[in-house]
Amino acid sequence: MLSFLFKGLLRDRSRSFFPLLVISLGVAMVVFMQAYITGAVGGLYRSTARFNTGHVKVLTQAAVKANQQSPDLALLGNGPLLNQLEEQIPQMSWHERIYFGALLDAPDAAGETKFQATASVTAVDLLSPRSEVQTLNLKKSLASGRLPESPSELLIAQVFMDKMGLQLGDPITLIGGDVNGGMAVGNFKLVGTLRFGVIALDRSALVMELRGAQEFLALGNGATAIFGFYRDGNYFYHRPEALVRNFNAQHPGDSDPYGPVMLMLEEQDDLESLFAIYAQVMTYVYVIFILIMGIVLWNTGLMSGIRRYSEMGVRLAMGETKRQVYGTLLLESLLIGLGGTLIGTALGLIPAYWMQEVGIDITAMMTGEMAMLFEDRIRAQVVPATFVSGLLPGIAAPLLGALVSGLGIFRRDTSRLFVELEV
Amino acid sequence: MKIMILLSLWLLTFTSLKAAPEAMSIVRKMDQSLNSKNQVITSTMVIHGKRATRSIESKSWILGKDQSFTEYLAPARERGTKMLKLGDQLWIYYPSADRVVNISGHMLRREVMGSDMSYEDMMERRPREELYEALLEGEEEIQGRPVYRILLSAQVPDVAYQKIRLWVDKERYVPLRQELFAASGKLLKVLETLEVMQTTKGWYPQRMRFKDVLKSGQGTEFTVEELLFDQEIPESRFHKGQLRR
Repeated sequence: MLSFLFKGLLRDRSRSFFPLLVISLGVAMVVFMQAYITGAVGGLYRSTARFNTGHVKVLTQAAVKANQQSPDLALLGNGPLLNQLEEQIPQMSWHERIYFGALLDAPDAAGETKFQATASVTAVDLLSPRSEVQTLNLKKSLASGRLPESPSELLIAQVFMDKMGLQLGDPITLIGGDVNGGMAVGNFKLVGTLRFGVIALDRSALVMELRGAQEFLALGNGATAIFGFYRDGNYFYHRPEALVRNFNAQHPGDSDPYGPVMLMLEEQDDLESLFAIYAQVMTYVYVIFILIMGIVLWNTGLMSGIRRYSEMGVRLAMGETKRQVYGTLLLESLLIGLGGTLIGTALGLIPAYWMQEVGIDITAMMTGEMAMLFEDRIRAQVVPATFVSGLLPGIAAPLLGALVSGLGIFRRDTSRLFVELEV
Repeated sequence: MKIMILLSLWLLTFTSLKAAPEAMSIVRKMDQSLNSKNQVITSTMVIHGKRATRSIESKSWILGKDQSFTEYLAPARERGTKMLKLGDQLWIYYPSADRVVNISGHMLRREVMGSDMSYEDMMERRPREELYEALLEGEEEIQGRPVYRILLSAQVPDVAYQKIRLWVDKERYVPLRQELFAASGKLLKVLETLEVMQTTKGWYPQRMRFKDVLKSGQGTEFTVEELLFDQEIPESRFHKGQLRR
């Protein structure tokens, strides 16, 4: 029976070609849209985690309470804590970071102030086995020069350096506040420039080696935060919830305001509501798109049924039962839907994979605060759900169309068939 | 009836006219006891930070309202740091970096050594009667001492605080409490005099507590260990070359 219907569909292209084309295109669009939305949300997680939050972040209770990271609120004596984290949560890699603000003072030939600017300094591990060169994609972001090879060397944002009129190799002095709130003053050398693609960072960012900042700020082996990243790179909504709860239960903060507390990505910077809104908006877009595609595909099913009104009449006149005719109509629709879904999924995966691997550069569109949140390249993400995302609109919608249009078969009166068919 | 109204208006006008010079004369007397042709001050600043309390010793040479030189004596991390103020310019020498850094513009609003005092607070030596208009708001009692409550409103644009409320000891003409306000009316800092000392020129706040109300922590205590007026200070003390010596 199936092979009979299949042959019929192949031989009578008017029955199969147009519906198959519409379903394939519709499913391809749904598959691509699903990958695009997954990529957009994933991109938001990636850029936020990389620069600001990690997948989880360990801070002091005092820093969380003050909602700021500064040397005087830093975690101190981190060796045992890092060992504990690596032992208890091996699925994540752990990295100390120091964030602080400082006055950048560039000297003239006589060693006196030539110009000054306030700088946002990020100190990350660049030289030890916990190096974040890979995590932060520093080699690729390097616009000129090289990465620091000693604690007294710095990277500077290219835009910032141009604005200050500095050159690679120039000495600079940083003036900030140390762990006790005292003066921290040190000389450093610029060895490389970075392009962040993030406006706020491009205008004021310096990156230095962790040990240089620890010495400069009298932090010992302390840091303003410890970032945790899943080794598999994947993050989804509230993924680390259980391990965060477990860690915080081991470190109740009521006794020591400078004790550690772990926050997952969504718990930081009011991101929970931001991500919820973003995911909701994206879901609405996806659902509306599926509905529209469903209506188009349903219409295809309807058109197909109506176009074959005479054929149904002849088949009824020749003695086929209404149930048989209706059944074959539904089965044909299912076959076309399945074929269209397979072709459409394959078609949709091609641009989805391209968007995942290459992406679209939107640097020019990213300005102001948007630049802090979004990556400078739109990327899709193909996940297992992408492969099945076209099933519902691709199979159910034309089937529903056939179900409705085929109901007319039962309303037809066999005794009037010849009149209707003008035989 | 008309006579009564006119009399009341005349009395009101007379009262307000009389209040302004009285308030200003209090401020003038206060300025006289705080300032002199030159001063040499040895002081200790105790900074109650978020995590630790630090004590910083320094010695300052002050000439008039435009020149001052400060050298930090302790602790080791700050020892050898020197500050030179000439007019509205400030240079700081940091021995750890062997650098002379010019602090100007908005940088002057930054805190000194992590304390509750800004560079602007430290630099301001001009008598307040030159900068503010005074209004006597009332008379009260603070720390068991009768005081005048005076509101100062800035008359020049280049002041750090647009309004200052002062509580000035009625007998000693020393400020026992000061509230410093931004142009918006927001309270920025509170200065309390905890102890006073008698000098050759009158009374002087010996121990004060500065509290930046926008900062956490318990404020900064500033204690005058030694205060000498009208000393011989060589002009060379206020040369930039002194910073690296």
